[in-house]
Amino acid sequence: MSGRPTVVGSILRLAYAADAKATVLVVVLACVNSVSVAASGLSVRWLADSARAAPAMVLWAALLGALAYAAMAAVERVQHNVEVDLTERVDLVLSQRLFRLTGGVPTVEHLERAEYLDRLSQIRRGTETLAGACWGAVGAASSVLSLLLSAWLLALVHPALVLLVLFAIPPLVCARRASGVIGRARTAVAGAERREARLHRMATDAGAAKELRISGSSAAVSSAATAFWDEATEVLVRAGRRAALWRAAGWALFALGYIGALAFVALLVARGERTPGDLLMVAGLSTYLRTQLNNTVEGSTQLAEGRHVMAQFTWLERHAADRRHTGIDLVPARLADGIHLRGVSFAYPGTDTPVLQDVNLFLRAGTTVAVVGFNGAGKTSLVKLLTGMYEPTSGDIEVDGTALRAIDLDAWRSRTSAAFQDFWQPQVSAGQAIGLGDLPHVDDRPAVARAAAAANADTVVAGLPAGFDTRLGRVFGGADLSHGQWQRLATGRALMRATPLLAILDEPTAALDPQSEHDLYERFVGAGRADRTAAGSITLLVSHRFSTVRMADHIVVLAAGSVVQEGSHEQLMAAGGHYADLYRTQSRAYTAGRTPDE
Amino acid sequence: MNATAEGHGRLRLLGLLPLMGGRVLAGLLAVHVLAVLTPAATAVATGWLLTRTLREGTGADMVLPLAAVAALVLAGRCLLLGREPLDELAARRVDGRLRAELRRQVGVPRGLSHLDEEEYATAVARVSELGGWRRRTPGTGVVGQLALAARLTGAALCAAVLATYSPVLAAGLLAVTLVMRATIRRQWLRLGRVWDAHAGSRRRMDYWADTLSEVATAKEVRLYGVRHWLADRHAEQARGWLDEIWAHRRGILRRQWWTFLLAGAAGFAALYVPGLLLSDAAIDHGDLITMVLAAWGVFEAGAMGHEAFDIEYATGAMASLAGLRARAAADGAHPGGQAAPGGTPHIRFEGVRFAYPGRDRPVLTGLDLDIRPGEVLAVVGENGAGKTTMLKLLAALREPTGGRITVDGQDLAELDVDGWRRRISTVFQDFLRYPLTARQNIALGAPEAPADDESVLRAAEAGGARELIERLPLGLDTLLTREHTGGVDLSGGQWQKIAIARAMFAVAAGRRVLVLDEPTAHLDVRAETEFYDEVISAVSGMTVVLISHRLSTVRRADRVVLLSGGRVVEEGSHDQLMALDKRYAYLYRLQADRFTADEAARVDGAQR
Repeated sequence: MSGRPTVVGSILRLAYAADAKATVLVVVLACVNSVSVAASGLSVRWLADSARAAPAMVLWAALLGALAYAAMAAVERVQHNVEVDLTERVDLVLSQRLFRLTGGVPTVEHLERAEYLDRLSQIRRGTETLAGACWGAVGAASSVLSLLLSAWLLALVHPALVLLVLFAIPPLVCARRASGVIGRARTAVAGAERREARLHRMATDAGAAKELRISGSSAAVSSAATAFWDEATEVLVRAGRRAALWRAAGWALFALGYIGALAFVALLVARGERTPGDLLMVAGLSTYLRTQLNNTVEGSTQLAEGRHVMAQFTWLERHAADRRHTGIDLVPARLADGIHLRGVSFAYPGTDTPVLQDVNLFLRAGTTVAVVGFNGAGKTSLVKLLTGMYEPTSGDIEVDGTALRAIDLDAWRSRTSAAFQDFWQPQVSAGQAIGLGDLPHVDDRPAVARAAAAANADTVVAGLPAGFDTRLGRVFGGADLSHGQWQRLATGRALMRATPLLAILDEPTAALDPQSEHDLYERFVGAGRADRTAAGSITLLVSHRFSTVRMADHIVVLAAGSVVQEGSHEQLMAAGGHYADLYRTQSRAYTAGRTPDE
Repeated sequence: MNATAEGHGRLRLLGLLPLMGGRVLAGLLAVHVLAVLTPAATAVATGWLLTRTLREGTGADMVLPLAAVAALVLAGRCLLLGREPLDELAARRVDGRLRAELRRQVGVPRGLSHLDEEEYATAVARVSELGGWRRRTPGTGVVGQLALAARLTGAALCAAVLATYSPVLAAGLLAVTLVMRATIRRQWLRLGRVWDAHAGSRRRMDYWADTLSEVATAKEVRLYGVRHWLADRHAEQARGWLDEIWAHRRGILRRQWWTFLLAGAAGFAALYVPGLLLSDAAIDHGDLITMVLAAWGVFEAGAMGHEAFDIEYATGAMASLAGLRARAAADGAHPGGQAAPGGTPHIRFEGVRFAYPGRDRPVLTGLDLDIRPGEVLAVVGENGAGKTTMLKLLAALREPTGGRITVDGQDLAELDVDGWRRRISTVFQDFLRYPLTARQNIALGAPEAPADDESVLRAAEAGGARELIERLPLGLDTLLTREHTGGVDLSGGQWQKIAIARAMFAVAAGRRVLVLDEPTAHLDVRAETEFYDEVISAVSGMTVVLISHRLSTVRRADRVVLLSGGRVVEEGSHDQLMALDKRYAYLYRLQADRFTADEAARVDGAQR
């Protein structure tokens, strides 16, 4: 589905796939509609001309009109609703495609940058428009057909009346301008609408409520939301006015042509060259003609909106293709050498402040490497690069000598595990919340129980009404957990994969109690890691807890995006400087002024 | 929904009219009144034109009727076009106000337990829904209600024109059309009810969609390769309710055939009667066209335009809002109204018990705790011990299921809850990251105080965020989210400094109880070490409740309590608890020994 002209074709195909009979029905009804308009016009002429001359024909004329009217009523009701039905079906297909596509882009840039998010929000709200666009086209086509039939009837009255069809062009052209105005306005307000939605959600969300209530900031958040809403309203309404002016201009031209035609026929009738029935038909047709023309205009507007969404969709597909990880190299079964970072620099796309600058690091296979540094030093960005969430701006990451760019990213990720500081709180069952860490084993209860126990999450699960089967989270009316309990589940998730080549712990204990913290570190950094070491696994620990950091085989000190020190705890302590200072500071907080009895 | 409830729903929608503002409403009404007249007037003018024409008139005779028809055709269309931006403005104004009201309603009940109720949350989601590209909201509903009234009035006027020729035909056509409309509407109403019943399903569908498209979850979704699994859940959830809607709609469509017969019969009468009148020479050709056009105008009443669906949709949303209002009114009747006493309060938990609704296991099981004015009290305990719950009770966000909490001897349940909360400032573990500027992020700690540069920067300084703010591209006015144009993102630790600055701002604004829930979890060593001296010690005369797993910070508190199983099991100064040598002492050593063991390890390392 790419390229402008294929909107109608591809959506029709999707609709046909969703429900062939309904799709055919819509097309048939659209044709019936075109014919009935002409039939209705004919019946009026017939009625007027035969009433005095051949009264017996009045019955047949009225029957023809009745048939046409019933057909139009049927079309309006059935066609419209079948279209809605098909639109919903296609919408679901498109939404599914969108979500799989969005989730399938290997990097996360498109979810973090304002200009991309504006586009994404338009696509997400627009799948329905896109799904409905082809009905706009079908409606427009049927209206055009009906316009042509009407033109033919008019031509029967007088050939010059065909010119009236030319007057149908201005409304269409102007409508195109008008939908351009509206489309641009909608793009322009996407940002404001997203911000309003964010703030509205925050103001009505159960999670945010506790802080909002205590600080009393609900009103401020609410009025900020209102301000964005009003901003969007102003832009949209202004654009709506301009669009209405364009449309009115188009219609004024059409009205001119129509009145000309009416005057012309009236003159012919007055001169006795045409029958009153002809004038009646022209007047009668006009009502439907305007409706048909309006349908054409609306249909083409709908199609234009669909194209607008399609363009965004195409952008996303292109973005996904650009960001597609092209690496195909195999991931080694075990690490022999390790991971090298060579001259890695990184700035978030769209910014020019480097977060990492010329980082050279070696993460040796089978070791634990700790990264420490001040807040904002670039630790989390480093983690994002190692997991392929972003690609380095320059420099290379190599796994056992093969560039990460060249390796099959999905395969690499399947051999990676991570406990992030901003961990995911999936609203699934407690068992799945852990099991999702290794999808093939998501419902493998023994494996999940093992990971839960290893993460000290088993006590959390034991406290839930239905154990592993307890649904979590508010959206599903499930149990709510404390922050620390969620973190334990997240840790369990990170422990699902049996032999990751790279295990990342990014502040994994921030919300954990001392016992859980102790156990976790013992497992990863202390004695419990023996089996991992054997597989050549690397554990990368990002932490401010120096008591644990010191147990790592290798410690890297980051400051302002650069490596300023590295070595073992002993080496760094001996060398003095940053690390030793920080270590002593934290150590002193525990040891200074201790009472003698300890 | 029975007839009365339905009438209430419609009435409720009309009650929204004032929300669009007097001028917009007046404009909209004026446009509708004019538009209502056009179909009937067009029918009359067209007949007039034909009559004049056939009376062997000259061109001059036809000018006036032609001009009238031209003006009506153009005016009809222009009114319709001009209505569009007006409709949008009106609808958006109504929706803007209602959304603001919803945000306010959510905050009316005294505690937070209503937000946990699925029914409540679903109603909130239902009122918040905006529809897809074609907006379907209470606003479009009320605009649609006007459009519908205009449509019906226009049809009635056409019937009046028709009645001047044949009252029987006019009455008959109008009656048939209205009966058809009512029947069709009732059928679709049932579909609307099915739709409404699935507001929860849509909310869940959105949950899966959000999980797949939000940055917060993006890393784990990718790392664990679960996107298809999540998308399957979305599809499953969608099919679960859409299948029902689709089956229902198909059923309705299959029951439509008789309405076509009725429409055909009405169409026949509309042509046959004027035809007979014409052949009897009771009317002329001009009257014929007037009658036919007027009849078509009557049929307009039977058309189910978008507005019919907009109205049904909005009625459902308004019913949900009415439920929320009723809930707020019921909860708002709580007795608490006494002003909280001034000064730094003395807070006591007396045998407090608490269980979350729907959970058997109580979180607090008889908590006795004295929080003395001006002291620094540290609370420790394992995950799930009830520490955060205790905070929620303290701030009256939850009410004890047993026992009571007093403030200077007064029962918290009887105090004015807003006044009490304005004396508290908290830093929660999952503190808010407002998608607003740095200034707002700090000043929203106490919105009652002015957010001038000086006081905000002073709070930033106190919270250790000054340096960070000075490095931001627009300083205090930098937007703190990369999700919006011009915004920047902060790291977890940097955000935590902002949250602490927010609390410091509140303290400076005069709040007397500072509650900190793991305030140093993401801070670097330097910031963590300085935290006690620069934040806690700096706030003099305040009560500080510090929840932390960082026992190096905890040990400096005036008093430490250890929570376990929902009650206090150990209590005293750090030294006392160490001397007691029980759970606290064990946990402390667990952390401290990782440092002291270092001395031994160092020797080992040197030998290695």
